[in-house]
Amino acid sequence: MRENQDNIHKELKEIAPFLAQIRQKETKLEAPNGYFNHLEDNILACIKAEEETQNWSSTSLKANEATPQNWLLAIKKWLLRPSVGIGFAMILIVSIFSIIWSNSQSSDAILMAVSEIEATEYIHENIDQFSETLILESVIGEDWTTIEISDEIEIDFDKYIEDDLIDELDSELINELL
Amino acid sequence: MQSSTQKDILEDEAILKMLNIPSSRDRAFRLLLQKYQERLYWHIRRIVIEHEDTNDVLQNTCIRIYKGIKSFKGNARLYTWLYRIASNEAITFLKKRKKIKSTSIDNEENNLENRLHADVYFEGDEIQKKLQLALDTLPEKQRLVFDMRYYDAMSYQAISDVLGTSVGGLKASYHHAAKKVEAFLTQE
Repeated sequence: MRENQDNIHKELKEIAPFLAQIRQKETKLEAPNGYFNHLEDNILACIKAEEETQNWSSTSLKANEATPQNWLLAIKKWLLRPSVGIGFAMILIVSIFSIIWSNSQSSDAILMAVSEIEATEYIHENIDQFSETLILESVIGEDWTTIEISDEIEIDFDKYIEDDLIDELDSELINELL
Repeated sequence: MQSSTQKDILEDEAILKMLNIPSSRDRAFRLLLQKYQERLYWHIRRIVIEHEDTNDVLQNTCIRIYKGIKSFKGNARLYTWLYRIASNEAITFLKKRKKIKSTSIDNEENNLENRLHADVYFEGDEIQKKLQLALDTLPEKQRLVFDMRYYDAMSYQAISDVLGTSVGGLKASYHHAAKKVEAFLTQE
């Protein structure tokens, strides 16, 4: 494996005389004191550590195999993450608000499409469903309770509302009542 | 009487046999390290220069040897095979360092001259320092050939076994490397 030093020196002298002159066997590089005393132990410790890391990563790779159980576990873990939970809560809140908003928008649009005559007819037919108080308030005003009514006069409120008051309701009031 | 080479080969064979037996694997690897660690260290050290870097490269080399020893067929000398792994690891390290050097802003810190100056394990005089700077300018393969011939006094055949290059190609590489280093050393 090794060649005669003289041959190498002779060869170098022919190619690079100055380099041949300064040729020394050592590079003047030194190793720390006692470095080689512990080197094999250090290297074996490194190899063992490397092996353990590999064993650990191969075990975790097994755990990451794409079996249905692992998929479910992964999904469960993912869902339990706080950021995912907050995200879902935000989506839920936004969805609820948008449903409420779209419902109110659609009921307003339906009411706008109902004509005054249709509304009056609807109230006539379903007068029992409306609160008397609300109708009186809408037509007379909030102070309708202060109106004095003689004991001698018997007023059939339902009849009064049905016969007279409804005709006095304008479209705005009808919309309010609906 | 056995020659030292024959004794060497017999020792290697015994170590390799022990490595194939699981119960004696660790003991055999320890024997292998005891026999070759210093030679591998200096081979790597001459290429990467600094001790700390050498230590890292040597550890990687030994891990590779440990993992790959089962696949060693024995058609080459064990030492040649170990040298090849160490050389490849050292060249990989040099390439990585070059990449970092080219992207690093702090070129002063990466400069070999400054690193040699700061290296407490470099005892060389000015001419030795200049020689290291000259070697640093060589392409990786030329550098390897030069180191193995100049410092380790390896025959071209042995270098060819390690690097897998023809003897003729190696002679040309060594010739070019020596000329370049000579020019670097003799310039003003």
